[in-house]
Amino acid sequence: MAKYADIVDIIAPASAAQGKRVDVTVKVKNIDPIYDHVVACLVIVDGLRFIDEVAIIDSGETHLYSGAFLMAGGDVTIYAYSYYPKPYAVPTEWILDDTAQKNVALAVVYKGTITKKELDYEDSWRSIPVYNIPTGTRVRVRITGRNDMASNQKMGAWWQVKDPGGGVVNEYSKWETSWTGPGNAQEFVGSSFDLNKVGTYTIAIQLFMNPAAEVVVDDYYGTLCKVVAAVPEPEFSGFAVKDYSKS
Amino acid sequence: MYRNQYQTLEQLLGGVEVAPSGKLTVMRGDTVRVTVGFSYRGTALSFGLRVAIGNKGVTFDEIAYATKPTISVPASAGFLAYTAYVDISTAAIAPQADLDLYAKLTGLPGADLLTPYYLNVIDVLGAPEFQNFAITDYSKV
Repeated sequence: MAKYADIVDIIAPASAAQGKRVDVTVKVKNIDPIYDHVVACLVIVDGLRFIDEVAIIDSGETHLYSGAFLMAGGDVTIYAYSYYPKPYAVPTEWILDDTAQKNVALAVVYKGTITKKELDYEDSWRSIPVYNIPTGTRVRVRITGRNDMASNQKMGAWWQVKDPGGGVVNEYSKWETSWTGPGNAQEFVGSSFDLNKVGTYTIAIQLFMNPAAEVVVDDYYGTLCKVVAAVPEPEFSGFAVKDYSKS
Repeated sequence: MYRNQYQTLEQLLGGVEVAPSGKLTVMRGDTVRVTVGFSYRGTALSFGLRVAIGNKGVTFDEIAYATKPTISVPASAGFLAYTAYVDISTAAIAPQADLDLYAKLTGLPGADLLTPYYLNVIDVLGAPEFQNFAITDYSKV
């Protein structure tokens, strides 16, 4: 229990990505009901003192001491200390009054890339967008995602295909059953569907990691294919002599 | 009867189109223009047209014919109507009546496409000819 300088709170994020700036604010309250006090606050992380400030805090008031550090490659603990001077008139010694700490976990930054977007048309996988597909053609979508992390990751994919009228004609959502190693790719193949309308079909794609709290690591929105009216097999009708004359 | 004779005279002068199964009468050596019509849908296609005058028996005995080697039609999802014609010389046809006519499209992906046979639709008359041209007598008048 502090005598004068009570560390009320350490405001900092619960997690941060490596190399990211972590802003920290320490709230210190002068709990002396009568006198103002000079209060020093020291905040340290990994041996680095990033807040070292002295302030006069009025009786009953709270002062904010702020600073920042760059997140290291692992979990860290922020240690905060409050001091008051002694004797008050001509301080010769700083008396430790209160301590507090807070952990900041290293946040994982998931990285992945949609490397291929393909359409199964005429029994071959073609990169999208594909043009001049006749109506009535049955197709499938295949999306390939690459794990750009240094560790194994479980990846998932979602996509939605819309016809020229905006109707959803194909939707896919699935996590891979196992894991994908660093730098490796995983294919996701959807079900077959028919292209029955003339015009532009669009697709929206998302690539995920971390099934527990899914994170979109890459996405795409654009043209899947352009569909044209199917040309039927050659067919004649009404072949006849219309007239004959002496020319 | 009178009307038919009038039509025949017009035909002999040329330029009157006769629709099946009307009869066209021509002089030997005249050229007969035959116009065909058809509708087509499908991929772009090129083919030929052959029209023949002759006698239809068990088979069609062609006496004179003409061809158009290439007719090209564009790709179309729906039926589009086309016409084409050929000119057939009758020089090789001995004067005779009641000749028959038919046309066919050749060079198609499948079998040739034939029109119906039009029977007894063309008469070919002989070329103008004089015989026994001589002074038969002479007298004072």
